[in-house]
Amino acid sequence: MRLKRLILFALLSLFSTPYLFAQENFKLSGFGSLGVVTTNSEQAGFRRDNADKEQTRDGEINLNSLSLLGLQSNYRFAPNLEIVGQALLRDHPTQNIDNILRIASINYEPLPDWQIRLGRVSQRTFLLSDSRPIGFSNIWTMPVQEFYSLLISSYIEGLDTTYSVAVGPGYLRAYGNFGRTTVYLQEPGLGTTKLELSRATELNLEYELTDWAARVSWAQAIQDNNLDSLQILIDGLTGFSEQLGWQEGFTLASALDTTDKQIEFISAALTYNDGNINFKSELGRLQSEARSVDRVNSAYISLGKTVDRFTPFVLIGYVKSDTSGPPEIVAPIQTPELNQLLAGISARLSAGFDQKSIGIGIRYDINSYSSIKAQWEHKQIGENGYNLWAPDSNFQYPNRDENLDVLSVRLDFIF
Amino acid sequence: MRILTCSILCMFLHCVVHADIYVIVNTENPIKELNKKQTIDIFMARTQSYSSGLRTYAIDQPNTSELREHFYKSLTGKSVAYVNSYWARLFYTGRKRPPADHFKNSEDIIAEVARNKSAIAYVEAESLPENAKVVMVLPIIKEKK
Repeated sequence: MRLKRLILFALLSLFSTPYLFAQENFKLSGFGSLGVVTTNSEQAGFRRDNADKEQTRDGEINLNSLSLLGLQSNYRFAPNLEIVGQALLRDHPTQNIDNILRIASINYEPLPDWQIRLGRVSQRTFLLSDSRPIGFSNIWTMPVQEFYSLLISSYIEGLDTTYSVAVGPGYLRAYGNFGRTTVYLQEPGLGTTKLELSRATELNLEYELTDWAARVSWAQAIQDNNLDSLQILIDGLTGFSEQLGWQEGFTLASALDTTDKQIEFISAALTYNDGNINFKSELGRLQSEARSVDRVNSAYISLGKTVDRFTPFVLIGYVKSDTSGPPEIVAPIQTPELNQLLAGISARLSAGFDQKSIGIGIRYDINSYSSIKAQWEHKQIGENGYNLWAPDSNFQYPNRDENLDVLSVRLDFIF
Repeated sequence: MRILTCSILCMFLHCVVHADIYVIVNTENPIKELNKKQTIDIFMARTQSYSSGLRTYAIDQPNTSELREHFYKSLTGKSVAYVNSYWARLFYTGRKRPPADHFKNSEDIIAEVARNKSAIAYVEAESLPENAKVVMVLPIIKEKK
């Protein structure tokens, strides 16, 4: 039913113009996407990111992963004071207000160059992290999986400030925020996991010069709880350790535990867009104090050229863990239950990120408010590098390198 | 002279210059003229203030207007689809608001510019009132079919 409504919105958008409703102080508007994705992967399930409710496998056509509808209202009390609310409807792992409400903020500009936002604001950890759902603003059918799937949160509740100043021929922008966030993830076989992150802090610096922009960013947060799948392993290990007086087990359980541990992102980006050539590239590094979270390096390069209404593009993505393999765990006793638990821990620590992709695609601007895109990506995944994908129903990943293809088509619109 | 140069250039670029677009501000605005970069910076929200420190209030022609298309093409060299895509990224992330686009026609826009000291807008030659403060003139460039 939701999909039917979305299709109706999409069709209406082709004949409409932004915005739904606009007055001097009030504006109601939105964005949407209708997408399909398919793959030739038989065992591992393709997912846009960890919040993708349904994974896609060989022969399946997923209509939900890339389809969404966003509604936004802005009310301006004064030239420098505005409230913004945005709801994002999509196939969330859990349908609740936390997932649906993406922005709820008061924006205040005490001076023209300063902006302070208070409330729930979209997160700007990576270059496009806050515009990920807004398909019309990008040339791809979806943000590069190798880079953007690593970032699981989408908003910050707290304080957010931006300062902009002219430096030389361009503008320098400093941005920072502090707050907390909640993330709902889809864990295969376990359903939805709710992850709480506190003391989330982001700082970034951006220099924009006509068509060029360069950006560096640092972000960190403290995890307040574990993923359900990890908590099961930690509880099991702690139980055996208490039962057996096994000190090494306690040490390992503590190393695996992500509670009260820091997770950190560092990234740099360079973009060029003159309306003709569209270039984007980002480098990223994810690291955590917890042993159960991989240290990961990721990058992508994308280049497109606009000819009339067409923008063909190529993209290359890369993600790789640099964590060493699982530690040697010697069980104090041999029982099937303990061996199974240790095998589970070992499998979890072995599974990492090792994926490269090359893709080509094309964007066609139907009109000034809607576009359609098609994209084919070929992905090479190393034996222990399937973490961006979902395991099969037996919680197994392929025990070999694989070459997989992902094909996606998406209609994006604003209204 | 500027229009003559542009016309000659356009002959080689397979396009034709038809008329002008006038960028106007409130008569009390101390700014005397704007160059292309300054105008781009204001309409693309890279800056929120004039060189005098006065806050900017940019006004667009209606979304369906052909003049809007010509304005951005002439000012930035980019299509309206590009401009809308640029604004989608800033607006739907809750960061910035695009130029006001709720005015129905040039007459309403001129009235708002006359009323609001911060306002900056663009109109076609036919709508330009005698007392308007013009800070920049842009040629309308139409590509040959």
